[in-house]
Amino acid sequence: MTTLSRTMVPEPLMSIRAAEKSYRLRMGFMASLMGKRVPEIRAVEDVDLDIGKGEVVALAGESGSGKTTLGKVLSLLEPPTSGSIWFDGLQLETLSGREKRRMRRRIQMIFQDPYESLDPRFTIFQTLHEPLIVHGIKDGGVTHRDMTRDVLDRVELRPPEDFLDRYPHELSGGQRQRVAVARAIILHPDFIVADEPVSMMDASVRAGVMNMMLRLKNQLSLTYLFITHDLAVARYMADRIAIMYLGELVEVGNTDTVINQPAHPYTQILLSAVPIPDPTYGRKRVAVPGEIPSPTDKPSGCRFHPRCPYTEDICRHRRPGIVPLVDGHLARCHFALGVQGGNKTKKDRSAG
Amino acid sequence: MAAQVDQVQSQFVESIAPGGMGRTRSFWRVFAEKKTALFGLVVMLLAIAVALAAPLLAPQGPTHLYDALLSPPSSQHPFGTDPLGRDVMSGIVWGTRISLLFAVGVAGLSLLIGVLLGAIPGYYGGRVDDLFSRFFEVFLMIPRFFLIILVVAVFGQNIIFTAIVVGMTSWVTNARLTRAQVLTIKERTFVKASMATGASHARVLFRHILPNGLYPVIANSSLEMAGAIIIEAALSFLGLGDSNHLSWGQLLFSAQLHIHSWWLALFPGLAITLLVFAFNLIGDGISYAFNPRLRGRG
Amino acid sequence: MEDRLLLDLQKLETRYSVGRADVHAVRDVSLKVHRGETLGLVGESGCGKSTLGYSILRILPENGRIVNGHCLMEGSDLLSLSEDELVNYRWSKLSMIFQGAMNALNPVLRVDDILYEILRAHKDVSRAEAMERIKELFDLVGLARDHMTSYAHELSGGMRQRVVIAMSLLCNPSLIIADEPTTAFDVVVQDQILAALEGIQDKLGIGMMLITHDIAVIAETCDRVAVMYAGQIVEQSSTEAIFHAPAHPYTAAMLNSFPSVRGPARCLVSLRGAPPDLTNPPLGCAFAPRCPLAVEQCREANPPLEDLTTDAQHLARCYFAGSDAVTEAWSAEESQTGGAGG
Repeated sequence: MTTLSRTMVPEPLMSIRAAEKSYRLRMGFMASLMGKRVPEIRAVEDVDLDIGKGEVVALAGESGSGKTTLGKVLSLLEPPTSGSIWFDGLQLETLSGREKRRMRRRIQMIFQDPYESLDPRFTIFQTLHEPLIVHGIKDGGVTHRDMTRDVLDRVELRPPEDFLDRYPHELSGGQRQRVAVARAIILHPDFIVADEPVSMMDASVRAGVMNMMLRLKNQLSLTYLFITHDLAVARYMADRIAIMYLGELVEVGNTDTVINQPAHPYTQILLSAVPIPDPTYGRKRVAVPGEIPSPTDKPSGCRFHPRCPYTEDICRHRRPGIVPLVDGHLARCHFALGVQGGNKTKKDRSAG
Repeated sequence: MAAQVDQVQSQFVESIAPGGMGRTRSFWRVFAEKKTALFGLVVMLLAIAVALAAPLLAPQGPTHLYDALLSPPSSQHPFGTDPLGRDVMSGIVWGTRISLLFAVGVAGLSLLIGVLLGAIPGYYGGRVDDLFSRFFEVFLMIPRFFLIILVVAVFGQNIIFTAIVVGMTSWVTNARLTRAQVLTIKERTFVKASMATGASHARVLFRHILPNGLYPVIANSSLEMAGAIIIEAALSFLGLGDSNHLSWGQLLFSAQLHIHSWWLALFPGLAITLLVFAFNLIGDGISYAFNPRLRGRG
Repeated sequence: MEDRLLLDLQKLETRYSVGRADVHAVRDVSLKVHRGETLGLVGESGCGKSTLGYSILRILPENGRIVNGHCLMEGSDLLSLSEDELVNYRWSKLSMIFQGAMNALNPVLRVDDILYEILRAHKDVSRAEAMERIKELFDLVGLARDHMTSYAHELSGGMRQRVVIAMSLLCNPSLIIADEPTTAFDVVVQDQILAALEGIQDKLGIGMMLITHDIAVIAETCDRVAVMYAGQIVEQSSTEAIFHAPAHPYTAAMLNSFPSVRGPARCLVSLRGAPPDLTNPPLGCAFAPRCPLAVEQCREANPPLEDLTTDAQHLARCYFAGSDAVTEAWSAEESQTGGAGG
C-alpha cells in the first residue's frame, strides 16, 4: 500500500487518501447463529486522488469498478469505511452531522437517470426551491423565485417562467437533466460529482448538456468529478482522467497522456475496445480473455493479472504500487514504463 | 440565423412506446376507466349524502316509535317497522352515520398507526427493521375477537372503544405496506438527490417518500373500511354491539328473533352488502390506477 | 445485385393507437437488404427504428398496426401473409435479436435446453442433432462449450447476449434484425459482441439489419446506412459516403455530436428541441424546426427522398441535399443562446 508522498495536483480542492468503501451483505438470522462469515464487498479500495480547483476529472471504468461508489462517498451520501477525504482543508469524514449538512452547500451531485432524479410530484419550481429551504437561504431582495428563474436561464431552459410550474413528466430527458444541473448549482457549490449525467441520452442531446456543463464550469468556477463509462465522453469533458478497475485506481493523468500514451494494460485494452465513429479508421481489436471478476472474489496480487497480456509471476503475488511517470501521470502496474513505451513483451496467452 | 426557437414540448415523444404518449395519465382518468370503481365511488358518495341528510330524510330519528308494530313495507314505512314500532328505513338512514363513522374511525386509526410504525423500519432498515418486524408479528398474534369480548366485559358495550380496539389490531397490514413502499422508494434517485442537497430525514420521509408511496395504503384503507363495517355488523349481531347507537348491525340483531319478518333483516343486510361492496370496488380501483404499468410507460 | 436482394421493404406505414389518437411511428419507409450485407438503421429514441423491425416480423403490440406497405422476401409479401403462413418465415428465414433479450432468458432452464426447445418448435430434430447444432452455434459466437449446461443467471451479460445471438441463428435464417445488440454493455463486452456479429457475417454471409443509436457501431460494422428521423428515412447510403459527405442536415448534426477517443479534438454539435409529435405529423419537413437551413418551402412540404447519384446509391430527404450548406450548417453552432434546451 503506497500513499503518495506528494500531491498529484498543487493545492488540490479535494484530496482523497487511502479511501475505502466496503459493504457487508446482510446475513440471515440462522446464518448468524451458525457463525457463518459475512461476505464483504470492497467496492472501493485504497484510492488516492487529487482534484484541483476548476478541473474536470473524469472517473472512468466499467461496471464493478467502484466509480459510482466513490462518487457517492465524495458527495457525502455515504461515509467511507476508512481513509480520509480532504476538502478545502477540512476532513470530511470527521465532520459532525450538522457540519456535513453545511458542507452539502459546497458539494453537490448530479445523477444518471433524468427520469428518476426529479420527484414526479414536485413542480420544477418546488424541486429547485428545496435546496434553498433546506439551507435556510433568505427569501428577500432576491426572491427564491428569482433565484430559480436565474438558474433555469443558466441551464438554457428559456423562458424560465414557462418551466417553473411544470411537472417532470412534461419535460424531455435532456430538459430534465438540465433541471437536475440547475438544482445542483442553485446553492453556488464549489464541487459537483456528476454520476454518468449523459449516459441515458441521445447523442445530440448529450452534446448539448456536455457543452452546457463546460460553460457553467467556467462561468461559475466549478470543479467536476465526472463519472463515466464512456472514454470518448471522458476525453471530451475532462482535463484529467482516472481509470478504475475492480475498486482500485489503476491509472491517472492528463487526458491526452492517458488516451494516447496509456501506461496500464487495462487502460490500453479499454481504449482499444472503444468503437470509432469513422469507417476508415481500421481499429485493431485486442482479444481480452475472461470477464470482470466478481468484487467478492478478487484476484490476488494485481487485480488485473488473470486477464493481462503482460502478466508475470510478481503480478500474481504482489499488488503493484503506484508508479509515478512524467508530469503527474501515475499507473498501478509493475511494468508501467515498459507498457507505456510499448517495449514490454506480451505473454503468449491462450485466450479463454 | 442559426438559433432555432423551440416550443416546449409538452408531449413526451422520447419513446413512442405503445400505451404511453403522455408520460402519465392522471390518476382519476385511469380510475374512471374502471366502471366498477366508479360505481363504488357513486355508492360511497350516496351513503355519505344519506348520512349527512339524515335529519332531512328521517326527521323523527331512528328511535321514534310508531303505532304500526312489526308491519311489513308499506307506503308509510317503505322498509317496514320492527317489533317496537321503529321505522326500519329511519334506522338505516341514521345507521349510515354509525357505519361510516365506525369505518372511518377504524381505518383512520389503522392508517395513522400503520404508516408511522411502518415508515420507521422502512427508512432506517437494519436492526430497527428487524425489531419492528418482530413487533408486527407479535401484534398479529393478538386475537382481536377475544380482546373485544374482554373490552366489552370490562368497559361495557361502547362503540368507541370497539372502534379503537379494531383499529389498534388492524394496523399491521398498513405498516407492512408502508414499510415495503418506503424501502423501495428510499432507493429511488430523486430521494437520494434530496438527501444530497442536505434535506433532513423528516423532510425526505414526509415530503418525498410517503407522498409517492401511499397509494397502496389508501387502497388498503378502503378495504379496511369495508371490513370494519362487517366487523361492526357481526359484533352487533352477536350482541356485543352498542345499543345506544342504532347501527345496521343492531338492526340485524333485533331481526334474529323475528325471522319471518323478512324486512327486518333484508334491508339492513342489503345496505351492509352494498356499502362493503362499494368500498371493495373503490379499493380495487385505486390499486388499478396506481399500477404503473397500466398507467402508460413509466 | 438484384438476385442478391433479400428483403425489399416498400412504403411501410405503421401506426400505434394511443387513446383516441394515432401515433404515426413509421411513415413511408422503403429499404432493401441484400445477402451478405449489413444495413445499419440509425436514429435517436422515438424515431421508429424498433417499430420498423417489429413491423417486418409482424410482432407489433396490440395497439400497433401496419397501415400500408409491402415487404417482399423470397417472392412473398410478408405484410400480407396470414399468421399460419408467417410461421414458415419467422425464425427460419427471418429472425430477430431483441433489445434486452439477454435478460429475458428462461431462468429455470439450462441454456442448451432453451435452445433445444426453440429448435424443436421449428424443426423435427433429435436431441443429439440439436446438441450438435447448438455446439456449432456456440463456436460461431465465441462461447465455450461447457457453458451449454449453465443456467442463464450463471452467465455474464455478454455471454447471455451471445446466447441470444446463437438463438437467432438456430434455424439458419437468411436475414437477422438486431435491435440495439450492444447497448447497455461495458465497452469490452460490447466489443466482444461486435466481434461475434462480425464473425457471423463473415462466415455465414447472411443479411443483417442492425438497429442502433450509436454511429460508432455503425461505422465499424455496417456496409450501408439508413438514417431515420421522426418515422422517415432521411438519408440512405453506403457507410463511407454518409460519413464522408452527409447529405442531410440531421445526419451531419448527428455525426458531429459523437465524441471519439481518436482523431482531432473538436467542439460537438448540440441539437436543440425534440423530434415532432407524431400524433400529428407535420406537413413539411419534420426536421425543419431544428434545422439552421430551413426555409419556407421546408415547412410547407415534406421533401421527397431524392437520389443524389444515378443508381439509388445515395438518397436524401432534403431540399438542400448534397450541397455544401449541409455540412457547413453546424460549423457555426457552438453554445446556443435562446431556445429551450433539448
